[in-house]
Amino acid sequence: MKKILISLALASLAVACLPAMAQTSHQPAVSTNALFLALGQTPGLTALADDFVIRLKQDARLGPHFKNVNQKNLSKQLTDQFCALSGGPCVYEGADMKSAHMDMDITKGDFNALVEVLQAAMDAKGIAFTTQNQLLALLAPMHRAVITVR
Amino acid sequence: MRTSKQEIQRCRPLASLLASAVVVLLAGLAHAGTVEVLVLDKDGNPTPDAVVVVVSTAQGVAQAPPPLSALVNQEKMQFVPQVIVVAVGAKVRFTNGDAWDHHVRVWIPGAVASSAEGMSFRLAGKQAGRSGGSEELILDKPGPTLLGCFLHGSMRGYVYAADSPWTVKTNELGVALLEDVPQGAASVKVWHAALLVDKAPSPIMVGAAPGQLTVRLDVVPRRRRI
Repeated sequence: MKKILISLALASLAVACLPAMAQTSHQPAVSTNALFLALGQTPGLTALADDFVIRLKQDARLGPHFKNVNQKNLSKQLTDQFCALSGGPCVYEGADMKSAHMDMDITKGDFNALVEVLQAAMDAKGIAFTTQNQLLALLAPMHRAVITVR
Repeated sequence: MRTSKQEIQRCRPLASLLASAVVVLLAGLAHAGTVEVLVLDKDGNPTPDAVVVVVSTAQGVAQAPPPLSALVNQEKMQFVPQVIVVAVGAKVRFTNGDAWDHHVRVWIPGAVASSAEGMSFRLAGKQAGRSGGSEELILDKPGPTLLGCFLHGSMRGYVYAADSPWTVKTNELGVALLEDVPQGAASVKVWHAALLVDKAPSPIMVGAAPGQLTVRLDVVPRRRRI
């Protein structure tokens, strides 16, 4: 897990400069919402979150965890959270990650499985690998709050 | 279940309380005993949050009957307390202590979610300078009422409306201590959220000496992480 996180972080560091450089022609040199734009802004994130939640419910490993989950609400919270994290204009008003997961039995394996499902959902939306890794790098530190079974 | 706006019959519990007080004066407390009930799960481990109900054939008055009002807060995706025992007809206030919304669902086990037996209310999250949403219900049906949240499927809570004044939930050691139970024949019923089928009541004889009873459930309830 640590290795994955480190490589994710490194990968994201390495690619962090690329979109900014690519966009210098029509954007300010330091663009804080580059990732948000690369993810397709709010419509792109909404479509991604909707599909992600469906995939979570269908996943053999994670399905049981998400069986009772309110699809619409989770999708909305994920959209807001991804949007806010990636520099978009949203405000995330949902639960903090610790409170949201503290009474659930979540292992490192569950967390990694969720990352895989998110990657598959992003692949399906044609999101570039570098963009995927930038979002994952922002989400990765949440493992501390999310994993409850150590 | 009804909202507090409909509380027409409020005097009735008072009248019956007064009547019971008279009974106490007549009967005296000398003819009461103590019953200690230990609830174990299928593996033999003490089970907290089981509700123990003693139904006595004799008349008497409990010194500490379940309350006629109670508060259930929502804190960090939990109903706190998760299990609460109240008297039938109690006013239960639900408050949201979280910064995000909850959409509380209240229903009687076995009822169809969409039927009149179920209801729901959305409680706004607590913001700076504004407390969270709040709603009051009157639970006038004896037995367990289930609490859930439409937004957060993992949330579960239970309000047990007791029609016997000797109704106590088990503590961390799995023990429920029932005091001032009238001496004579009685039955002990145990309810736990994890039980799919009600357990048959156990008969006991309440005497002057403290009585003890161990009830073993045929399930292992999930342990809460917090």
